[in-house]
Amino acid sequence: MDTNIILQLENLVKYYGSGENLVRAVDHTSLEVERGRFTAIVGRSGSGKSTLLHLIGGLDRPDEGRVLIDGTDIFALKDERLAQFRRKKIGFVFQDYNLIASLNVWENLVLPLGLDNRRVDVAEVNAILQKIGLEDKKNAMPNVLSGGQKQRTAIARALVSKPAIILADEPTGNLDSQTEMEVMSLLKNCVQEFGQTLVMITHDETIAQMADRIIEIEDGKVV
Amino acid sequence: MDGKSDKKLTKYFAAYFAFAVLFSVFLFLMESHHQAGVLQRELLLLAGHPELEAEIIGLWETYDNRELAALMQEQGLDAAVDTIAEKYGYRMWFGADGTFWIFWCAGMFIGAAVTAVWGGLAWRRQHKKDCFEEQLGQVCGCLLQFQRGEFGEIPTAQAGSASEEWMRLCERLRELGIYFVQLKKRLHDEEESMKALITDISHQLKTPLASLRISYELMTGGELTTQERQEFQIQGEKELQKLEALLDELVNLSRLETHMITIKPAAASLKETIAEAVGQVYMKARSKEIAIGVEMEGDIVVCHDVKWTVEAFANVLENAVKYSGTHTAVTLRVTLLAKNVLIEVEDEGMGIAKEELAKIYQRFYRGERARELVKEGAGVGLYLTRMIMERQGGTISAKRRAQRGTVFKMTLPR
Amino acid sequence: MKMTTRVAFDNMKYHRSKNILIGIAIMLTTFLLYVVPSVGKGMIDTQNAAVNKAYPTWHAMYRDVDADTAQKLVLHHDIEQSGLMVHVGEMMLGKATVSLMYLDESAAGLYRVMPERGRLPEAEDEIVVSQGILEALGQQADIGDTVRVPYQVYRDGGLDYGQEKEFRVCGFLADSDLSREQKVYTAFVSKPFAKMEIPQEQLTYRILARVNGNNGVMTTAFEEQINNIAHQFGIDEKQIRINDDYLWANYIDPSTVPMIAGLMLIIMAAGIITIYSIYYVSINQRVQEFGRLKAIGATKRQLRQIVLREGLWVAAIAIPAGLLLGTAAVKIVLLNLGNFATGVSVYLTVLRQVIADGEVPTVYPWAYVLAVAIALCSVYLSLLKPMRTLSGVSEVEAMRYRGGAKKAKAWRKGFTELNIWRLTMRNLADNKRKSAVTIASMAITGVLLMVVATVLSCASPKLCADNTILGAYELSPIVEQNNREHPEREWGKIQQDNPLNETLKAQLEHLDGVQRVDVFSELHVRTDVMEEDWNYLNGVPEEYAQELERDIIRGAVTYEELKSGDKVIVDSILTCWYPELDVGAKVKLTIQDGDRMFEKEVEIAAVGNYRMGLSNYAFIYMAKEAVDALSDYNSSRYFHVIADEKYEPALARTLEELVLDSGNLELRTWQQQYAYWKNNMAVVGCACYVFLGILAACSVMNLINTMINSVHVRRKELGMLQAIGMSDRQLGKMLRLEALFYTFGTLAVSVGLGSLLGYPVFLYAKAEKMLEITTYRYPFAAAVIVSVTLFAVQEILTLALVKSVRKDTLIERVRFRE
Repeated sequence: MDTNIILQLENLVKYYGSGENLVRAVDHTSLEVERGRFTAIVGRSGSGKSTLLHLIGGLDRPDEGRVLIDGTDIFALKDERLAQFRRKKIGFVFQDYNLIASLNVWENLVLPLGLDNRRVDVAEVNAILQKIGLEDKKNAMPNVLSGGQKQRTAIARALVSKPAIILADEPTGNLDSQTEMEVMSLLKNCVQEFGQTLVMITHDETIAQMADRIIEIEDGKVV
Repeated sequence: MDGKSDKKLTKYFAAYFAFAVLFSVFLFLMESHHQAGVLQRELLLLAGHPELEAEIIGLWETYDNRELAALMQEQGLDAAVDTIAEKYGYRMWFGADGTFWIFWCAGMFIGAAVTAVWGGLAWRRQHKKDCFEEQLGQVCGCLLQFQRGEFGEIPTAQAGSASEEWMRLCERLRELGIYFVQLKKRLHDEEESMKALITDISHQLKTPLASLRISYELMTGGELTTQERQEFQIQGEKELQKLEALLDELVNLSRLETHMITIKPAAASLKETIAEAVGQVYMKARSKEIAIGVEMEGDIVVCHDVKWTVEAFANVLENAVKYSGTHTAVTLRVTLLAKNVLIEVEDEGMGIAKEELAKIYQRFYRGERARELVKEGAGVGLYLTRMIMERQGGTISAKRRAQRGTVFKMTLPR
Repeated sequence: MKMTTRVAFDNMKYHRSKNILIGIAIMLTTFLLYVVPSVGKGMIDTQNAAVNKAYPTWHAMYRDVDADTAQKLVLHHDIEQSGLMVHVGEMMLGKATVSLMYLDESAAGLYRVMPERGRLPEAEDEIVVSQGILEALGQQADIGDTVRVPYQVYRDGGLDYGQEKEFRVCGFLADSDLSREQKVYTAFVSKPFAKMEIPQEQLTYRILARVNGNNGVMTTAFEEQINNIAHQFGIDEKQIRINDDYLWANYIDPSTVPMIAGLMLIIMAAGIITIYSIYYVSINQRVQEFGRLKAIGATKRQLRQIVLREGLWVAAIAIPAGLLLGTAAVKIVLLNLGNFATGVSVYLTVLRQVIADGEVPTVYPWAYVLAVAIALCSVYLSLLKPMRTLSGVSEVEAMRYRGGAKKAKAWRKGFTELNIWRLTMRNLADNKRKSAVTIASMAITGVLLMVVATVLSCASPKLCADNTILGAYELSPIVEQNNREHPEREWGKIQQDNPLNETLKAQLEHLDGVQRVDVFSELHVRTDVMEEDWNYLNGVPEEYAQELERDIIRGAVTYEELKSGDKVIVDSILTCWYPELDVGAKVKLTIQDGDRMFEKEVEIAAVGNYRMGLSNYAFIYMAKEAVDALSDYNSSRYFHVIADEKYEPALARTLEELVLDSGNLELRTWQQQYAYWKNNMAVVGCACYVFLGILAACSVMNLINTMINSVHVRRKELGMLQAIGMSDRQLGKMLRLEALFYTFGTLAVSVGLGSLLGYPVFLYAKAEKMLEITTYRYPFAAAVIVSVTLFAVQEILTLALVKSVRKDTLIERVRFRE
């Protein structure tokens, strides 16, 4: 087991529909991601990148193929174990609807820890809050946060549980260009500092540039 | 361990055996006493009321032979017993009836159950302890391996049977192993990168050096007119300068890459840094009649390494000037974000092709059009800039302008 | 189809789950709305039909009325229908008794003795006989044949000498089992024959009369009327015979209709509450939808119409379904009415036959119309508020809606550490109003259920039986007033030769299992206050002195004082009818003892509330000693046999045989009463629980909808939670906790409030003497069943939701992205 490769996709296949309506969302894709790198997956909409991310994160099951995170075949795990695995190893940042509306910022941050029955290191969480610049909004509810602030909270949440790999699905898609830069800057910074791996989906070349490695997807295949 | 468990087993068997014996004796005594008590009563009755003889005997017949134990020593009873024996030929002896056996079986069974449970619990405890010791042994083995430089064999937790702490421990060991592997890799990478750097540098130097040699050879060679010789001299001078510039860049690069020079961020005025960077490219811009504008509201203090940041900004500005036409504008804009400062450099130049946007930060990369337009340039500017920005916790990103030109966006944390 | 209708239809299909739930609620409501009045009317109709078949339909019989009076009597405006009878004479037969009667057609109809074959006699020598009569005569004949009949005529106050005559048979009667058993028959002769045989001056008629009046009047009122008429024509009261059985059977409680109307209102309310709260919970999601509609140009009115029509589309499907189910249910209930009552009596046999013959309708068209009308009304009423809200939506606000009308907090001090429990709490706290509405609407049904269950469980048939009969067995002489056929059954006569004597008492006390025999005496009394009514002086023995004193509610008196004979306790029932009879009043009693009557003045020392077993309809109490002192004869009216067991078959049989042998005693057993009450209550209880069960099902729709909605609104959130690692088990735990919260809330309110309310309702029922409730018993069974059912429903719901969330959100999210 090459411990340097944190993520390995082996011949992943995911089709939707059948016959004429057959959509090859992921078509025999294999790739490897090194630990600690920022990898961007680029492609037009409809190219299957979202499906790919879902498969990587274990949110959807492939028709064929394996996904190995840290050497573990995640789809060989039972649902309960898979959820646990996700809690400990994977962090998600979505384009929107990242936060639970009825929880304030702090609670949203410690949510993954709570689900995993881990103790909350208050000092650590505060440090992260400071890093993303929301320490004065600890008790704020999501409905008063701007888009950028919400995404920053989401990033912080993904960091709090110290996952090995963070999967981001167009996290800056709904943001204006300045906030976009801010969020990307924070993301990159934090990931580097904590030594995590970042896999991000984007269709924007401006964002993709910032990655250490760019993978292009077209029609479900890696080009 | 087997010897131990054998001994344990024996111990339990012995305990049970002892219990069985004691219990049986106890029950026996009880029963005989009980029966004796009953017998005693009846015999007394008999002694007192001889007329009830027939009835009592009849009762005894149903009980089916009972023998007196030697427990009864009362005289009247003895006489009665003898009378009975003589008259009726009945001898009473003690025997066990149904209920007695039931009690006995129940007792045995309960005794066995209790012993089994007790033994089982003890065995479980022992087993747990053994497991625990085994786990500790595994951890020791693993650490030994780490010491030897192998990071493969990490004890895995058997799903379900292991406790939460054990699993966490395994996880920690694993991550430790990964950390070591990464460390190794980094060292290895750095070595490799050094080698690559040296190769690249030597490669880069070869070309200008080659042309210099030719010039020199030509000069020292033979039949050249004074004018030609002068031309060559001037050419040589130019090449030397270029070489010097290249060497400078390469020295910078290598020093930075090999961490001979570190970037030390300190709180400083951003405005001054920008001013200095702009100053460095001002002349070049003037010569092309390119106007450099700076849009910045007030000054801010940002934590950055002034020298290197100036270098970074200057690179970007130089590129902007280099790849723009005459009478165009280059704008530098500073915006405050929540946790960062955004510095944008906008030009109206030839722009960067979409496919190349990602590649421009590669070491020694020069785009197709760039190469056409400007022959000189090692292609390290953006590589350096990116490294500088990222080492300070910032980022750099390029975007094509709608009409023409490029916007470079850089961030610095504040 | 109009646009609004079309949109409404599509909406209905789109919001499928919510509309299914509303549909079920409407269906159940319609079902109940149809069933309740139908069953009510059906029961009444069936009873009427049976009664009219089983009993003779006359109200009163006036005897010994001469021809003149008779003529005037039948013309009285209060007399609805009348028939004439003449008792001409008797046949001379040894073993059987055959009377010769003349009845006119009307009388024959009223008495239900129309000939099976043939017709009534018209000519002088015509006769109608029956098979039994022919057997008694020892002759064979059919219509047209002649029979030879020996007979005696009533002349000069008695039976005259025997005569013989040849009659021609013109009709045949059916023999009843009773006739055959007792060998008592009646043969019909003609009017000319009667006139011929009996001299003019001696010819008296018996008049069968039906009196005008509605069915809601109590029997006593009828009796009053009958007596009044008699008075007007100078007919002595002793000559009046009243058809008590028939009157009682025909009596319909006038409170039935308001009660049914009340039930309908409850059903309607339940329906409205459920439908409204289902809409309320999901209103927020529809705001966006309606905002869009408004933005593309729909008017307020059109939006209101869309909401209303969507509801009506659902109703259009649900109401017929409810009616269909209701029809089936009504049919089943009505056709099995006969099986609900235990025991055998002529009435019940006829009842079952009437049902079996299908003589009573099981379908009532007007009930359909009523049910549909009320159901539609409920739907409309429950949609009023949603219509107003949704049509008042502003376009922009709606479009910008991001799923959650939160006038929410901006800041909140939260938990440092989170877990599933806290997550659930937070979510519930944010939806306080929705939760409250759901719990409130469910709890209303719950409270109702608990209150009814309290009343029902306090009604113990054992206690009821204990209240209606003292001891295990009650022996009493057969007492009948004004029964000319059996004058020996007058109480006055019985007193003089009372079968309840010391010998019998001793005999009874010697029986196995008998502890003792308590004796109550009674005397007929009248008071000026009570006018024409007779009542009884109740001589209570020493053993019940304590009870007598304990249940006094006004005034005070001791048993010792009651021994004097000057003081009495009056039952509160009497004071209801005659308020003058209150504490301190001095009443002049006219006491009948044997053949004589005398007066005595007594003072009412107290008023009490006593059980039926103690009073046995004798509402003036004195000590037994005092009553016995007043009487020259043996006034023992009841022998209450206190036995070891409440019911012991051997002892019962012995007593039954004893009673049968004597011929003038009757036996009531505790067991009979107990069986009667048990059956009664089982039926009533059953009906109540079924009714409430259906209402409860209605409100469960509510819970289902709230849970589904709560999940639906948060589906993206839930999907995200799953993405960050919430396992299915944790999701299930969260949903389960939420459902548990609703369940607990509802149970707390239902059981808690219901139990609290149960007590005052119990007190009310006790005061009204409903179902003989006296002691309070907590309906544990009902509480447990309600709790268990609710938990079961909640568990199933949670499981279903977890499954659906899992399936739904992943796909949903994928589709959302792509």
